[in-house]
Amino acid sequence: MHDRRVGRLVANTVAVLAAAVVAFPLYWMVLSAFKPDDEINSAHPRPWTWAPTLGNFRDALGVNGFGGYFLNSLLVASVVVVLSAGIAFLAAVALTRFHFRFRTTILVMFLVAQMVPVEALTIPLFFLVRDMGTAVPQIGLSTLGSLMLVHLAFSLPFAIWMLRGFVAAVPDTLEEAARLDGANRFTILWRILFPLVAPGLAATSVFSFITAWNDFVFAKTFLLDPDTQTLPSALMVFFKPDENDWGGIMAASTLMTVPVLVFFVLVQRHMVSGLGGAVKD
Amino acid sequence: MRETASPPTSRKPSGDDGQAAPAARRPFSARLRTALGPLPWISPAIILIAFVVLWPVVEMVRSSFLRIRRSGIVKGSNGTDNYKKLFDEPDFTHVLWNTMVWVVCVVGITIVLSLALAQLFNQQFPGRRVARWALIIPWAASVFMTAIVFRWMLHHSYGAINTLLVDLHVIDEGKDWLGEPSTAFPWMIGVAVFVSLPFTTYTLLAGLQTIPGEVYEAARMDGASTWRTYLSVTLPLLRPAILVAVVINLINVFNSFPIIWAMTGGGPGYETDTTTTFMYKIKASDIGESAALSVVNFGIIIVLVLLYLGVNRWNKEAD
Repeated sequence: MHDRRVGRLVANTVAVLAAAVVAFPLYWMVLSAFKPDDEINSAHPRPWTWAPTLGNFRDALGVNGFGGYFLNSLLVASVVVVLSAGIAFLAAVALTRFHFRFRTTILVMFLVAQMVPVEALTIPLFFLVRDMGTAVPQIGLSTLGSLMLVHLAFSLPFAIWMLRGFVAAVPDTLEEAARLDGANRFTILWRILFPLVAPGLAATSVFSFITAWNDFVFAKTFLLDPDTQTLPSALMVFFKPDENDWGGIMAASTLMTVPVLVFFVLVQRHMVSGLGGAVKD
Repeated sequence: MRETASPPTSRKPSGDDGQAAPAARRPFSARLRTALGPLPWISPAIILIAFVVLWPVVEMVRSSFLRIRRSGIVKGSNGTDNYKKLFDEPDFTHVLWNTMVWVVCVVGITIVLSLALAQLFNQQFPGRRVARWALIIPWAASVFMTAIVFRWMLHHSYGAINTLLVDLHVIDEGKDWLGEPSTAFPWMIGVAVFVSLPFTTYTLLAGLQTIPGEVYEAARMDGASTWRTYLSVTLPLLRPAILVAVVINLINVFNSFPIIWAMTGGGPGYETDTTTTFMYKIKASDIGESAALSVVNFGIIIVLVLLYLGVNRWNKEAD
């Protein structure tokens, strides 16, 4: 009994210490965002402030079009999350429920697609998006559509790999029983598979949301029009060649991080069980 | 292998149990239906990935053999000269070495720390919830922003870490950690581990939770020590989760760009570059050579992952 109490004390201490270390950068970011200029540029930064100010946030929100950028980011990320979950779900069902030739080939293709170095592809992707724009203006350069399309495609391989384990874990007999009861394909998919795979969908949604929301590279490549931008470009305003406006950077970063944290809080419950599908043998 | 009668995109059925023989005897319409069965389900994913991800890769490979002006105008074929020029770069070996250190250290440290954290989070104790919440933070924040915050905390005169270390009398005065390659590289490895921990820990934790309690019960009955149980029961059962964690980390860490870019920009010079940031830098001067390095990079990561998967399978068979 005594041993267990000591063990628990050690576990608690280690956990709290780890939590403190891990959370510190976020704390410092939010703190710096509230600090007045003279405290930011102080040789003796303190882990608190007695004169919190909203000045940095005012600067961040004062960047032309910040509200619009925010909505653009939210729109892109939401569309990518929904479409990616839907398309990956269908593909995962096909890969686990159908036996067809080239199935392994397709799986390897998805794995290889996951390894593609994104930064290396900006030039070919730029030309691809430009050429697509001549056929379909909605997904050409400087459109949010192009950003959605590219993020969607890049989020799929991982989402499919993760969901595959989930669909495989749902016993065939369940679908068989439903089919005998006269349920059609769509009903089986929507009423039986979908709810059982939902935790996995929550986990994959997190991934596609984060990559779409936090992206700099694609936004910088495709969005050439200053009126149509996403959040990262608002952050870039505060980087100066001589000394950066750290207060502004931290305030804009805080504003950018909050929605993701909220999203995480909403789906956190499903995360561990969500990843479970990916790690089954 | 494909039948001429079926459309080029169709996947011919190979029978319900994966063998090819029975399909041939069924009527054509039924065969076609099974062949096209998975198509509507999987074609959106295949089309998108082929068109947006793999097609640009083909273009990248093609341009690695072209002579391309800085303005982007193509001046005809360049044979393998782009590759020759790349391998003759005086900094290339150094950058390759950096990349190896980067991948081995970041993935290795991440896996070891995550194994410990996952073990800790798998216990029942009051502080667990707080710690699990905190661990999500580096995951939710963008990698680029995390790197920026670390750069700010390491600032030679206004940085929090410098102040803390001076107050604790670890160092006498603020250091320019990121100005020196010998201190910048370890710090960047640290940040890369920091951002890789959440996903890895959660994946391993998910793996731990698939291990049934009876297994531990049995080990305890046999009188195995805690450490011994971990090595001979937990770790082998955790193998599928470790596999996923290592493969994903290998890919992400090898292709990692924002940490190095935001913290040192690969500088001074090319001292702290990996092949990924190096590729980005030479793109400004020679697009063809940069494409050649992209192809080399893509080759390296594919070989790395295949090697790891091969070793893993080999180990499994040896059991």
